[in-house]
Amino acid sequence: MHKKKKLEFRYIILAILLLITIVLGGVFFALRDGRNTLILEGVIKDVGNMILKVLETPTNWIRDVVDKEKEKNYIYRTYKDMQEQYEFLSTLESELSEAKKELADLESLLELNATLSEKTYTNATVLSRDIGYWYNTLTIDRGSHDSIEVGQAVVTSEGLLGYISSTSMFTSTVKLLTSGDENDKVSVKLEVGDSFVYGLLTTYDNDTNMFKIEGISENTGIPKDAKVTTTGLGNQFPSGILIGTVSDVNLDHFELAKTVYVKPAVNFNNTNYVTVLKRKLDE
Amino acid sequence: MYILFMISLFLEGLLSNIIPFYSYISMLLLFTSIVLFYPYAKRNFKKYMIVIFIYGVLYDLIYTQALFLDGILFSVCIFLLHYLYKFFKTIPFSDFWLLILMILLYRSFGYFVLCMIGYLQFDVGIYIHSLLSSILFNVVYGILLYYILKVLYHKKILKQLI
Repeated sequence: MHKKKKLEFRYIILAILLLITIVLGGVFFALRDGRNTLILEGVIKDVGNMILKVLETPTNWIRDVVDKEKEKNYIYRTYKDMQEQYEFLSTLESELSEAKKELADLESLLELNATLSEKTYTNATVLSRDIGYWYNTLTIDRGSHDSIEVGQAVVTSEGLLGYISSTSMFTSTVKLLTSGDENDKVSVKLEVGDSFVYGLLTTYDNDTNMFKIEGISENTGIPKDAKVTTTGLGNQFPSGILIGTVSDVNLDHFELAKTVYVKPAVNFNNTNYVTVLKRKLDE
Repeated sequence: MYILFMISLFLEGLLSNIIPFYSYISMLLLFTSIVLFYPYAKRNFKKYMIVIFIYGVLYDLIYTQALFLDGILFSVCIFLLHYLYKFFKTIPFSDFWLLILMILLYRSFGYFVLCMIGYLQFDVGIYIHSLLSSILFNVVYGILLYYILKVLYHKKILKQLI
């Protein structure tokens, strides 16, 4: 009798262990980036988020009215500033048209159809943010129906926000750059005078609210406030999207490798409307 | 019960757009309502477990990519609550102590699972922040919900909802 009970207990333990393994495996599979959304999952996600979108309409309307009022004040102040800068505009215009012509000439010379910086835009509204605490994601109201694909860059007017990690028919999940995923290293360039220094954006520190750039081997001095942008290499991010500005530079103990701390350009809390970018090169 | 859970589910989505990232407020409105509703549903525990598993899965499908993680976490927490409730029910404000305990357990289980599969890296600071930020707002929501449920129960409206 006692032996039988002991055997039963062993089976229970074995079953629990097996269940835990299956659950862990299942969650690991579910949280993989770029996983194809299951049909039922996509339908429920779309329906749930559509309901949320309808419920959000009044709050969005109030927020828009407040934002518009703020924007009006901001535009007036900017207008005053711009009036002073107006005289330089004609010089800049001629420089821009010259640069555009040069770029077109160089493209035709190299027979390029699209450069890394050319992109198409899709605007979207944020439906929900970071629910579940750990995931660092946003849900937007554009999906595969609007040609949104996994890996595409998501930006705000301030700079790079993250990338599309999964899509359903009418909604998509955006994984923020702050997620700190070790597998999501973004290739970046730092503007030092007329040249660029290249590196990899690795982690995000929640305490200091700074990104960390590693893998910089050049001995070039990196000034504070240097702009950090995407290179367009390695992933689907177009080139030249602003990530932030350099806040601090640290050398390792052997004074060989640099670690650069970057202050994000994007305010991650003020993300009601976003734009999904697609590199023309990928089309 | 279904209406209450649905309201909490969508309220969580609505409020997520207002609350900033990494703030001292982290919402678990659906989980809070599930824990607080337990005393009214414990007679039909098996049915309640099925319902909360479905709501957990629904929560994952709508808001996260985790498919069924919250379905399992909700079920495990309520299963533990079922046994702990007997020991706690003599203590004053037992519902609130249990709510805090369940929130801590839910956050801890979730974090450990995500660390075990390599999705997150363990960081004591982040872990403690997640626990502290989860308690404050959800206990306030819990107090509000507790009295609403009590009123509904006395007016015999709640019985129709179960």
